[in-house]
Amino acid sequence: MEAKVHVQICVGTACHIMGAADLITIEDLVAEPLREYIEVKGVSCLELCRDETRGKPPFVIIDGETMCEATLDKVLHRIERQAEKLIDEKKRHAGS
Amino acid sequence: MELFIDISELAIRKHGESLCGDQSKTARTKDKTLIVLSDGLGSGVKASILATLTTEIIIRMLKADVGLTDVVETVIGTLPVCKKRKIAYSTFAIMEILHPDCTYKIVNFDSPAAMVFREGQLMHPVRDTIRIQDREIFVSEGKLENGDFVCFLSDGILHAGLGTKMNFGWGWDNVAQHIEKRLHEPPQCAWEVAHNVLAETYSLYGGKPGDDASIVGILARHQNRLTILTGPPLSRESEGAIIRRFLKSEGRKVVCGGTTGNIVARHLNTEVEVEIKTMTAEVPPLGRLPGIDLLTEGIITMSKTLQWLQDCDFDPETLPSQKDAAVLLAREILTADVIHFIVGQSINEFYQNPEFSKYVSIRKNLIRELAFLLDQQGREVTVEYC
Repeated sequence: MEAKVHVQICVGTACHIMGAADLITIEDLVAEPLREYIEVKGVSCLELCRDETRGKPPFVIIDGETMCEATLDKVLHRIERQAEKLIDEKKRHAGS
Repeated sequence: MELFIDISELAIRKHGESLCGDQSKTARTKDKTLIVLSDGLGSGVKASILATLTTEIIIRMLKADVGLTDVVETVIGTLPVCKKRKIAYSTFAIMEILHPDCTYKIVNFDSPAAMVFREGQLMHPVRDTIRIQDREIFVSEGKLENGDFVCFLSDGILHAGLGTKMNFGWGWDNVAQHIEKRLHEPPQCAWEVAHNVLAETYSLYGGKPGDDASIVGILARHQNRLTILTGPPLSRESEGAIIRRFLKSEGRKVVCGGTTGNIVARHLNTEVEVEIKTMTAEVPPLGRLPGIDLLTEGIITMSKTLQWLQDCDFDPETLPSQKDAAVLLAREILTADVIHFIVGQSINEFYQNPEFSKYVSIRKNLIRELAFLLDQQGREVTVEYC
C-alpha cells in the first residue's frame, strides 16, 4: 500500500468555531503531483481544547503530531513538505 | 403500544375574504383528544367570529369534563338562529377520543357527516339521531385502530366545482372515493391526506374558492419516539447505565455532541466515523455509529436546528433540502411525536472563553428553549438531566 501523509482534522465544537471548517478544502489546495500522497479525514472531538497546555484550537493531527491553531497555510506547508519527503524516499527505494 | 392521534387542520378562505368563516380547534389532555370544526353562517368576519365562539365554547366545556350531551345541549341552546332562514348561525362537528383505548364519539350538527376509513375503505358506522331542543343531532361511536383515518369537512369542500367543473359540486360520495384512492398508499401523517383533499378542492374552484373550505384529518398511527442524548454525564460512574438505557430506548436515537459521541463509541467498542463532506462553514459534519440514527456535533448544530425550526414554523415541508446536520436534526425532531432529551451536564471549560461566538448558547438553555417550543407545538417532550 502506498505510504501517505495522514491528516486528521478535529471537527469538535471549539475547533469548528475557531476555523476547522476552513480546513476541509485543504485537499483541493495541495499541489497536484502531491495529492495522491495525502489522506485527509475528519475526526471526532479530540477534547484537546480542555487542556490549556495543548494550545488553542483548531487542532489537526499530521502523521501523529498535533498542530494547534491550525490554519490552511500552516497545514498545507507541513503536509506538502511531508509528502515531498515520501516521494524522495520512494525514489530512493526505486533507485536501490 | 398506545396509538398516536395525528391531527391536521387545513383551510382555505372564500375568494376575496380576509378571514375564514370556518374554525377548527383541537385539544389534548391526559385522558382524551378533542377535535371541533365549526362553519359560521355566510363568510368573512361575522362568520369567523361565530365559528370561533362555537369552537372555543365546545373545547373549553369538554376539557372541563362536561359530558358531550350537555355540551351539545348548551351550545345549541346558546347559538343564535337566523330568523329568515331558520338555521343556526354556526354548525359544528365534534370528535371526542378517549385514551388509552381510543374509543370515540362523533357528533354532527348541521354539518357534513364525518368520514371514517379503515384499511383504506370507507366505513359506514351506525349513526343515531337524537333531538335536542327540536334540532337533529347525529351521533356515532367506535374505536380507532392503527391506520384508521377520520376526516371532518365543511360544506365548502362538498360544493367545490359547483357551476364550473361539477354540476352539483364535488359531493360527499365523490370526496370519499377520492380519499379512498389516496389511501391506497398508506399515509405517513394526517397532513398528507388532508392537504391532498384541500388541494383538489382549490383546483375544482379554479383557484377562486366560492366558499370557505376546511378539513380536519385524523390519522391513528403508532407513536414516533425519539431520544436525544447530548452532553457527557456529570458522573463517570453513572455513564455506563445512562448509555445502556439510551441504546435500549424505543424508537429513533440521536446523539448530539463530539464528546458525547466518543462516550457512546467507547461503550460500543468502536470509533466515530466522521463524514467530513457534510461539513459546512456554519455546521460541523455528521458522524456515524452503529445503532445511532443521527450523530451530530452539539451546541452549534442544535443552535442552528432551533433556528431552522423557528424559521420554518415547525413545518417539515418548508425545511430546506440540504442535508447538513442541522437540517437533518430538525427533520428528526419534526417527525417525532414524543421526544425525550437526556442532557449531560458536564461542561467544557473552553466554552467560557470570550473568543467564542456570541450565538453559541450553553446546552441547558438551548434544550430548555427547544423543549418549550416543541411542547407548544403539541409534541410530548421530557427532559432528563444527568
